[in-house]
Amino acid sequence: MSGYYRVEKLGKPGAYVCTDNFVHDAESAAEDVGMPRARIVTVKAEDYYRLRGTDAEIMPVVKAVIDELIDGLKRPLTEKEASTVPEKEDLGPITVSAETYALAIEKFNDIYLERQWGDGLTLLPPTKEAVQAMLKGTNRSPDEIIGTVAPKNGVATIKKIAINAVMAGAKPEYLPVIIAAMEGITDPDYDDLHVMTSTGSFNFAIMVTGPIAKELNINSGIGFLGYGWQANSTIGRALRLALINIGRVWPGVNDMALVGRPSQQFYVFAENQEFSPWPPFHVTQGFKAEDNCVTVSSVMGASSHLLGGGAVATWTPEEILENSVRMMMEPRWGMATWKRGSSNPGPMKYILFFEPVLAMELAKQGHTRASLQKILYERATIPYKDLTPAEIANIQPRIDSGEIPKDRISVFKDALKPGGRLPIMDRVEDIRIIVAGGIPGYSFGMTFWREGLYAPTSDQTKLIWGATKTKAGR
Amino acid sequence: MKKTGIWISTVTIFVILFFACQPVNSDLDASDVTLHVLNPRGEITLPPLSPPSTRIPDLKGKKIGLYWNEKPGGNHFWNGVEQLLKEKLPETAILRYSGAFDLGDELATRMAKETDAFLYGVGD
Repeated sequence: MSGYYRVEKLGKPGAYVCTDNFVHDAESAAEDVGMPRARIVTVKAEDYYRLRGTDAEIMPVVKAVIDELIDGLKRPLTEKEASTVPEKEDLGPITVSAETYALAIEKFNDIYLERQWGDGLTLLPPTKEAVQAMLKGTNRSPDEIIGTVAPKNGVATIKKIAINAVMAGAKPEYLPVIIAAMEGITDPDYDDLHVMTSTGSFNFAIMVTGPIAKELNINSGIGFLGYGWQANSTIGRALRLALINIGRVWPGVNDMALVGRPSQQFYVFAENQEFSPWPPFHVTQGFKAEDNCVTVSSVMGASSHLLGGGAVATWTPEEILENSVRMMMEPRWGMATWKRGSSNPGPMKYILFFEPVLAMELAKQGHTRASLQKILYERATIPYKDLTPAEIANIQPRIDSGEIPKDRISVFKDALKPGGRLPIMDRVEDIRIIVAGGIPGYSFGMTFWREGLYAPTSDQTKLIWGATKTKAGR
Repeated sequence: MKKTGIWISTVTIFVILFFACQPVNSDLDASDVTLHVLNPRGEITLPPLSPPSTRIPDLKGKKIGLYWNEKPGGNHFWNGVEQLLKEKLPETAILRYSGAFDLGDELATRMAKETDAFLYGVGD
């Protein structure tokens, strides 16, 4: 809708075309850009997606809307369409009265869930007292603005984050972690819009690193992405509620994930530092080893790639490295059409979850994170002789548009010669190696585009600070 | 007089004991529980509202731009739109554009210069 708006603002009448199942999304986006009465013409989703394969098949769908499209450009604006009077909103407290406390809780939940201010599960009431108690988990000002949350750019203050944390059942000592995660999500360089609204089932992986993870009992062992751990579950739920309420996102309205976002409370876990042979992950992002951090990453939610390990099949470190390379090569299908800002924006980044035994074995062989990144990067390459003309043709446009970083251009140019090998990734740092899980554990990988569609990055690491109830993170 | 005083004292003690023995439970009173709950929504600042541009009642001799974000299959839909527009508005020129979800300022400016009206679709 933002593109449509740009041209309308330049004085040209237009019509925005979408399927009927996306009309709420289009209306919401129109409101966001300041043109709530944009002319929107819908085609039937059940026909469009089924028939869009050829010119001939799609023609009945076009015929059904062509007059409406023409009419959208010709018909004069109504008084309502031409109106520029905004609607006002009350963000004040809400009073709920009932005969018993249980009935008041029920009534409060009815109101909040009806207004789509929850995640569908029972909420705890964010009374002034409960929110004040939550805010005691940090020494940061309740009025401090952390950033704005997509898609409607709602302002995330520490107080608003705390209100949502209360509703989620989080403890005050978790608040500094939740705030740091929100700092990552709202960083202007981080593309939260795409991961929150896309038709793909993308999601957030929220990793806590440093001593605070153990102090808060955040699971990093067996079942680390599963249920049962209060910190993992309620930190994730607090973040989910904050995004719903502060960003004002809702499934089927402006969150168009077609099968939803698996793991309602995101993937919240801790790095398994106890068994990791390497420094904490955040050191690779420029932080000190003794720091406490949260790393927020966009991931392809519905799919992870099993690399090996577990309690059934046998494995060797070399097999898992080879499986990692195989996974990294999968995105080659789109290599010939990678283009910044498009629905296929560019190369992936990879998060490799190495289970503790594998990590320790690799360390015994003398490997560091950096040495493994280098090995994997060099293996995940395509011999020049095997490149298709379309793949070769797409390199120069990516160089010209600045998508391939300047310091990597020579690597790509050298690869386009006999004997050369073209890397599947732009940078060696696009491979993230994390030690997580128990013993035994599975090693697996998650992927996402390195660059977002609407902002430059798809992960952020932020320092946890301001804690008052834990020794770490102060 | 003395008997009356004893009687009053006894009644008073019973009354006090009666109320003192009642369970301390505000649930028994109608609408006795009131929760003041805070609003979890973030404040949003909507941009100043703009109405859509003035329409063109007669498209004869005008140029219509068709923008598509290159999402697979959309090209077939827009091919059909172009074909039918040419049939229904034979004196109208059709210009095709494609690019990212948001076409960006540069292409928007070019499209606005080159066309009189436009249709915009991003694949969903």
